[in-house]
Amino acid sequence: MLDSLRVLRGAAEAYRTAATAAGLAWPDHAAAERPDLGGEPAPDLVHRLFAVDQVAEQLSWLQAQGWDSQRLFPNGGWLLPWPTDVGETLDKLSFTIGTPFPWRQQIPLFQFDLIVYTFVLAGEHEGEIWRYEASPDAWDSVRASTSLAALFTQWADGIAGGVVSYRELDQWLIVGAHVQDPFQELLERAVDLDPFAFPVSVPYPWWSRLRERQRECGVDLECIERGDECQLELLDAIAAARASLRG
Amino acid sequence: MRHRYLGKAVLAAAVVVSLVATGAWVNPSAAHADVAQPAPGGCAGMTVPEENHSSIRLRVDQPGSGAQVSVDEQGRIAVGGILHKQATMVDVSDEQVATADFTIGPRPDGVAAWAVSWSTGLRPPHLGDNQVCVRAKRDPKRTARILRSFTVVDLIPPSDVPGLTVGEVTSSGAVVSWGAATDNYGLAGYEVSVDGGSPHRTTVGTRSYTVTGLAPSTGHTVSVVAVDLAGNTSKTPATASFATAAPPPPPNANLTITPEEGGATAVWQPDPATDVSYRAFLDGQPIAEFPLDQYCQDANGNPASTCTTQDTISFIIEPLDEGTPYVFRVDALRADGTQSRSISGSFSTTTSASLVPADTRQMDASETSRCAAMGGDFYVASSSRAGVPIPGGSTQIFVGCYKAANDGCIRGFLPPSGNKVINCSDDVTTLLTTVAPPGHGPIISSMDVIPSAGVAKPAFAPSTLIEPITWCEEGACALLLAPAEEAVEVSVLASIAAAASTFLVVTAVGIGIGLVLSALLAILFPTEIGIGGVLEYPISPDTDFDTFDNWGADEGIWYNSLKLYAEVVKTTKELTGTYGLPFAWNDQSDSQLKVAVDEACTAQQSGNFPSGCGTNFAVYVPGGVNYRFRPMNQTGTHIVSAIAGNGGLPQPPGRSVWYYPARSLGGQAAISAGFQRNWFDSDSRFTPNACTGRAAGTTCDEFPFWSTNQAVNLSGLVADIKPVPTTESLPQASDISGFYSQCGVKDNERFIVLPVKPWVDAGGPSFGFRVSDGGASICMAPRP
Repeated sequence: MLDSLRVLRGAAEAYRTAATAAGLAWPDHAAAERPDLGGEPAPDLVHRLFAVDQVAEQLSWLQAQGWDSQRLFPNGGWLLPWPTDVGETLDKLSFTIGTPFPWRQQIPLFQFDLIVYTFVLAGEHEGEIWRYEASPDAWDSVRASTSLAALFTQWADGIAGGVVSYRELDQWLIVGAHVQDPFQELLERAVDLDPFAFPVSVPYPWWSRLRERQRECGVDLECIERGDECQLELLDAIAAARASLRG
Repeated sequence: MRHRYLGKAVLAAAVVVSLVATGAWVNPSAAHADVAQPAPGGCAGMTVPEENHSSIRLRVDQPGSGAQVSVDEQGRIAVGGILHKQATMVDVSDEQVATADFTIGPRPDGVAAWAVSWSTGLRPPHLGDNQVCVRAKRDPKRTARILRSFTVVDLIPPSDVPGLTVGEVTSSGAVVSWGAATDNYGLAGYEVSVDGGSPHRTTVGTRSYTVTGLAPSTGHTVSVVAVDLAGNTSKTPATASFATAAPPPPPNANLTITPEEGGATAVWQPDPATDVSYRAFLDGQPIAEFPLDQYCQDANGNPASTCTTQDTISFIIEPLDEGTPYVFRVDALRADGTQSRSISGSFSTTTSASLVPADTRQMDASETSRCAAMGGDFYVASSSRAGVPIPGGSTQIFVGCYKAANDGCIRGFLPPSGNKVINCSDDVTTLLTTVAPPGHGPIISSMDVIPSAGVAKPAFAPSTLIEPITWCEEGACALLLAPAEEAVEVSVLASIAAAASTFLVVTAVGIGIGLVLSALLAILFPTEIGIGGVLEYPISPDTDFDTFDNWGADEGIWYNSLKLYAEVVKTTKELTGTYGLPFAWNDQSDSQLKVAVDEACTAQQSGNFPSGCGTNFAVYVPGGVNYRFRPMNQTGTHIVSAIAGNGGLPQPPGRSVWYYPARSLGGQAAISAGFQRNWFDSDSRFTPNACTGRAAGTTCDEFPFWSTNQAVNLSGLVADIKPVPTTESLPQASDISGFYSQCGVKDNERFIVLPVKPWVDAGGPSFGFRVSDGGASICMAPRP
């Protein structure tokens, strides 16, 4: 779902306020919302990479805020800038199997070490945030949030609810600090929150829960079942896309 | 512990020196029958210094007989003369140095019309006494040979030392570094003096020196000169002045720090009335934050149930570098997060005691290089001079360096080639036999403690016995005679000193000479010491595996190891050809692969090193790109370094088990043990660490993999972690995923991770294969 820009700005600002109140140092150059930069168009490469004619203005607005390349998001996550390298960007989609939309119709948006969040660029899922962990056997394609604003709201609420806290050691916001299973912590301590919105691994004891959520989101569970085979097909498709873009 | 360390040092040196191995491995069983003889030179067999044919009339004008000749700016000497214009020059040789590159010029003044001049130049193999053999011919079948003796000197000093800097200044010392000097013939090293005191020698490859033992807040001047192989020193010393730092502040009464090699323990008194938590800093950087009771101990060192003023906080700071100064600070925080007090102190970690002081090793290496280059036969380390009887008639070139009156036999085998037993009788070999214990050489004597049955990893018991190793500089060789442990440690310097060292083993039956010590031992003692493994197997990357028929030798225990080895070599060669990769096997990479195979198979068999592999297992060979040719250079390099250091042996040795993990689906093994996926960020037992506070764009890479039974610390050792570019994390994960699926690695199934450093360095793709009863076959084939 695409948020209105007003809603997105409000949610993003609420997150920034909560994060800085928790102790996170927000860079000066990105300290305030910059609506004047909201109109910066997506580079041409984005259109070619993801085979889309238009890119939502919500994305352009976010990219104009100067929030990229610093660990401003939970578990040290950072906003990925507009793509500049075809190969690197497509690599980030190499675990996006079984999605209910074409694999290439999403742009990597947040990186949390081994977990990638993407923004769906077109179709009925446009505006949704999806997540994928680089893991040889998790196959955890699932929707993280129905929209960007909803994602920021979840994170801000996580801070307010104490499941996301600031840690001086690395100066990051941490999800479920000092607990063995942050996913379980989210389930049990933050019942109003959606645990899939938070960038923590879904450990194997919770895989049945994961499959249930995947089914709700329209994920092709047959593809998930085939796992590595399905990924092999995706890697071939990515290689073909890479070749065509370079050709 | 000490014995094990020496064993590693010897084995490492053996691998290093195998770089220059040119000869073939010698089958132990045939070794005694294969006694080699010196190779004849171009003037071999001459009984007079000149054999000239009247139709050639070869003449050598330069150098003159018995003359003293200086090497020029290029380290070369000129050789020239005349010959009949219908004749042709064949070659000019000086020991192993030969040239056939002649300039034929006009007839010199005052010479008859039949003559033309000839001239050439060469780099003499060493300074001091030399002989050139000059040969010419004229068809049909007429020859001339002249043997000319002369003395080579080097009168040109090395260049001045550039770029002298002083850094890492502490209250008691500093580290001095400098750039490389140059020399026309060759450098022996550098001499460092502090405040005009006695010089400390380093090897040519060692361009830094740590000054210690100075008083705090005092001024000092350090000077460095280069020393060449003739003993000339650079004209103007490089100098630099510095002042040591002020003495460290006296330790805070409430804080004691006990430094060790790789860490330190800080202990302080808690104040439970105000202290709720602590924030620890090292050199100003935060390293940990923890509550009052986390590290609170009672008087017996047990965790305190309730932390009181009678207890202490004991906080371990690690890992730290050895011999490095640090400042530790801890802030006590109240419940509201404000700071109640701050205590701090300085300390320096200790350094592990070396068996042989660095100064001694450097001096031995440098002076042996110089001895070789000045035509000496052997250099006796200062610590051994009282116990080495110098053969009568020997000439001292400089203190400790001698040329024997008769060295004709052993010189014929230097520089060394391959592993062989020589049967010499000259002054040098007599000396070696004299310093060896009856019936044994020093190394063999030390190895008598090894059980003779079965296959055992050599374990060296150092002794004070004299150990001979050869040391070669630009083709000129001398023997270093030093106590066993000193010689072994010096041999490890060989690679950085631009020299090649070779082991000599003296026994009652002869003298073994070789580059790989364990191969040499196998030749000399085929039944007394178990040596085996692929490392010593007669197979190489040049082997034609289609016709090779020695797979089942040694009762077949190496069969699967050889299949593994062959599959790696074949696959890398095929991929190199197909994709035009900048990769080729050489002696060093071959040795590293063989070590890796033996280590991996030993890990698989949980046996003594080396053990042969079993059958039916998958092998993952990481690359510099993944099997789909996507970048993973740093992650591939990390896998290699985590298991096998710089491509050599596992360090610490316990990491050898990392060659053979088992897949653990979904990281179940680690999760069941109570770890979470980002343990390196979240688990206070492992933080801070190399990944703490890493920059955006980097991801924490871990080895062993999370998806194995060796994740985190399940192997008994904490996994090696390193920040790598995030752009590599997904390709690397795809690689593992591809390996598990395409090679059919099931949950709980073990597999081998085989690090091949040069393959990663060359940007080769990862691949996987399976070894089975029927052979080996690729299961994860690279494709773009």
